[in-house]
Amino acid sequence: MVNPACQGGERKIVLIEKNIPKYVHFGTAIPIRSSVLAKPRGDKLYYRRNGSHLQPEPRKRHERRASRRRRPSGEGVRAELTRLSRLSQVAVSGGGVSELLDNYVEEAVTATGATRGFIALAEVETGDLEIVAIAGAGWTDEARRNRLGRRGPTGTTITARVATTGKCVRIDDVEDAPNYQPFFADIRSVLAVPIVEPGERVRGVINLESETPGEFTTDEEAFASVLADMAALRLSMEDKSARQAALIQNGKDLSIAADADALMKKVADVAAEILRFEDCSIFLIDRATRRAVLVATRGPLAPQIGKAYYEIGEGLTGWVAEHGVPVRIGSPKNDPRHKGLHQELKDEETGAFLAVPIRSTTGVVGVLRVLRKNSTSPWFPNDFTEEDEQVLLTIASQVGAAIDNAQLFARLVQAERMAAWGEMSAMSSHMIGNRVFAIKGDLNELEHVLGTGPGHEPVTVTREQIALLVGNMKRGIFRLEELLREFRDFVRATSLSPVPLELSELTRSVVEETFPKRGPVALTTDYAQEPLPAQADPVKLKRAFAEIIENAVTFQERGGSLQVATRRVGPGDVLPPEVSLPRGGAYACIEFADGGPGIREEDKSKIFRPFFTSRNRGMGLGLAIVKGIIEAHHGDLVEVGKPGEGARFLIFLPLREGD
Amino acid sequence: MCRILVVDDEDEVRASLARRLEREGFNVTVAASEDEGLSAMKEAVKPFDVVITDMNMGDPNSGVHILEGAVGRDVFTEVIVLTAYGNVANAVECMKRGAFDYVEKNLPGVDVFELLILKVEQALERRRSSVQTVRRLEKFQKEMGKG
Ligand SMILES: Nc1ncnc2c1ncn2[C@@H]1O[C@H](COP(=O)(O)OP(=O)(O)OP(=O)(O)O)[C@@H](O)[C@H]1O
Ligand SMILES: [Mg+2]
Repeated sequence: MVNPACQGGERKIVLIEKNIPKYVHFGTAIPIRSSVLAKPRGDKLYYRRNGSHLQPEPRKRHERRASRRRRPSGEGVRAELTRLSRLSQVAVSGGGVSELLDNYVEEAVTATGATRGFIALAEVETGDLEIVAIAGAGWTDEARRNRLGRRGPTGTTITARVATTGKCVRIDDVEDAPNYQPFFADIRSVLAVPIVEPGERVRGVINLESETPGEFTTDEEAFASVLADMAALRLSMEDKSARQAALIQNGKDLSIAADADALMKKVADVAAEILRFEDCSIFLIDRATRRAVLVATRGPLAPQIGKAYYEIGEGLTGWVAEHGVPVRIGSPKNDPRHKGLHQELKDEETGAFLAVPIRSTTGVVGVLRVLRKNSTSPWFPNDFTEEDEQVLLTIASQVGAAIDNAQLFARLVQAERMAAWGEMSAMSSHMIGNRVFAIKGDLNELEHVLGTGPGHEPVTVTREQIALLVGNMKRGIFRLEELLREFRDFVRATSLSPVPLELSELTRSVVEETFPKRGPVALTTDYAQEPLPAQADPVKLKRAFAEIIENAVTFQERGGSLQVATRRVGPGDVLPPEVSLPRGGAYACIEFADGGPGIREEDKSKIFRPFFTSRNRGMGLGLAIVKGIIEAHHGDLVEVGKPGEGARFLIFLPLREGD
Repeated sequence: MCRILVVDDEDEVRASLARRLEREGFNVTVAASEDEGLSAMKEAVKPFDVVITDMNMGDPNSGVHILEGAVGRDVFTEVIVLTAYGNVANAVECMKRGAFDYVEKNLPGVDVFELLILKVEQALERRRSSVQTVRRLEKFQKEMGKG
C-alpha cells in the first residue's frame, strides 16, 4: 500500500505534526503542504459537522478552484479527513471493485478540480493497461477505447510511463512539454499517479487532466496518491480473498476426486483460475524409472501426456525435481539450466516461468509449472510475483496431500486433515467476517469523531484518537493477512524435504532461537547422551517445536517452567497408551512439559483439531499444524499431562539407525 | 440507565460493539465466551435489559445457549443475535425461540453498527411495553381481588 513514488516510504501512521503536516491514511504518511492541512490549535482539532462535505455540490469549475485555494485551514483538515473516512469506508464495504474505482475517480476529479480523469489497471496475464473507470467531461465510448492507444514520439503514453516507473508525473503546462501529444485537444495540465500494490508492483494508474495550466500542485498529487493507496489496498484484499476461496475449493475437490487424471486436470484448472497464465503442466516422478513424467497439461503438450519426461536434474523442471526449490524467472531461454525439451510455448514467446516442487510426506514427488506469454506491452512486465509463488506452492502441497491420500500409509494421516476442509472454509469465512466487522467498527467511530456520521453534534477529537483508530484498521488488515499465512502453513504441513539430521541438536537450536530468555518462565533441558539420527525436515520440525514452546510460554504469562528433554525409545520400551505407532521400531521422544494450567480432560481430544482454541486471540491452528508435521514424519504427538499440573507434550519420531 | 451485555469471543468485535453502545449512553458489560456470558447474567444484581450475542463462539449454537440463559434469568430481557453474513439458519432458530432479532455482520452496503443501535432501541421499546403490560395486568388483578 505504500506509494513509494510520492512519499518518504516510512511505514507508520502520522497525523498532522506541527511543522511537517502529514496526511493520514492506511499505514503511510504523505507530506502535504500546509495550505491544505491545518495547523493544530493546541492539542485538539475542532471539527464541525457540515453537510456539504458529505455530498460535494457540483459547482462551476473556477468556483471550486477558488474555494479550494481559500479554504480556511481548519476546514481543510476536516474536509480531507472526511473524504478519507468516506473513501476508506468504500474500500472495505461490500460493493464490487469496479464500483469502488468509479467512486474513486469521481472523487479524484471533484477534489482536484480536474476536467476529467480515468483509472487504468494492468491486465495481469498480458500486461495490457485497460481503462476501468472514468469521470468528468468529454468522454465517449470511442475516446475510452482509444485513449491509451495514442502515443507520443517516445512511444509511450504518460500513463504507461507512470506504470513503468512507478513514479508520479505532473505536467503544469503541456505547452512547455513539447513531447506531449494530448488525446483531448483541450488539455493543459496533467497529473498521473501509480497504484502500487504491497510488494511494490504497479497495478495501475490514476490519471487526471485539466484545461487549466498549473491545475495540479503537490496537494493534488498527495490526495491522488492516497486514493491510489486505498485502491491498491482494496485490490489486493480482493485478490487475497478470491485466492483463498479458490484454494479452499481446490482442497475440498482434491479430497473427493476419484481418479488421478481427473484430479490433475482439476488442479490445472484451479491454478489457471487463480494465477492467470497461458499454460500449466504437472510432472510426477515415476518411482521405478526416477523420471518426472508429464501427467497433465492444458495446452499443446496434451498429446505428450504419459510420454514426455525429464530425467532428474535435466532442464529447469528436472532441476526443481532434484533440488526441491522453486524456479521463478522471466524468459527461461537465457537460463543455463534451460533445455527446451518439452515446451508449451516457443522460447521467444515465453515471458514468465514458474515451477515449484510437489512434495508429499516422502519428499519431492513431482513438479508443477506454469508460464505466461510475453507481455504485450513492452513497458509492463507480467512476471510471476512472490505471492504467486506462495500460492502455487500451496496448490502443490494440496496435490502432494492428494497423492499421499491415494497411498496406504498416508491415507490415515491425510483423511482427518482432508475432512477438516469443510470446517476450514466455514471457519475462515467466519474469522474473515469478524475481522472485517471490527474494521468497520473503527470506520464508524472515525466517522463519528469527524462528525460525518448520521445526525451527530460537533465533537472534539484529539490527534491521538484518530491515530489510534487508523492504527486499529491497519492492524485489522494485517490480521487478515495473518489468517492467510496460518492457513497456508496448515495446508503445507505435510509437504516435507527430509534430510539426515540429529534431533537433540535440532531441539537445542529451536529452544535457543525461540525461548524468551528474560521472560518469567524457567527453562530446564535434558538432552540424550547418545545421538538421535533421523531423516526429517528441519524447517518443519523447528516450526512444530516452536509452536509448542510458544504455547507453553503464553499459557504461563505470570511465570512458570518449561522442561525440554530428548531420549531414545527402543523396541522393548513401553510407550504411553495414547501413542499409536507401529511396534518394533526405535524412536526419539522429545518432551515439552510446562507448569501451566495444563489441559482439561474434556479438551484433550480436541486440542489437535483445527480451530480449537481457548485463547481470545488464538487461531487454533497451531497444534493442528504441529500434528500434521509430526504425522507426516511417520511419528506421533500426544499430550499426557495431568490437568492442573501442566501440559506435557510428547513427540515421537522414527530413528534412522543402522544405515 | 439501560444495561446491555455484549457476548463475543473476538476481542476487536467486542471492543468495537462496546464502544459504539457506550457512545449511545448505555451501560455496557462485556463477556468473551459463552460461559462468561452465562455467568455474567447469573451474577448480575439486576437483569440486563438487552443481550447482544454472537451466534457462533466455538459452538455453532452458542447464541441459543445465551438466549436460554437470558430468558431463564428474566423473561423480559431482549436478545439480539449476531451472525456471519449469509449464515442465518441458526439465527432464525433463535428468533423462533423468542430472540428479538438477528443482525448479520458485514451485510453489504449497510452500516451494521447503526443498524444494531436501531435494533437495540426497538428492543428496549418492546421490553418497556411488555413490562408495562404485565404491571397493568398485575394492578388489574389486584384491583379485581380487592373488589
Ligand atoms: N501449554 C499449554 N498449556 C495449556 N493449554 C494448552 C497448551 N498448549 C495448547 N493448549 C490448549 O490447546 C489449544 C489449542 O492450541 P493451539 O496452539 O492449536 O492454538 P492456540 O495457541 O489457541 O492458537 P494459535 O493458532 O495462535 O496457536 C489452546 O487454545 C489451549 O486450550
Ligand atoms: Mg498456539
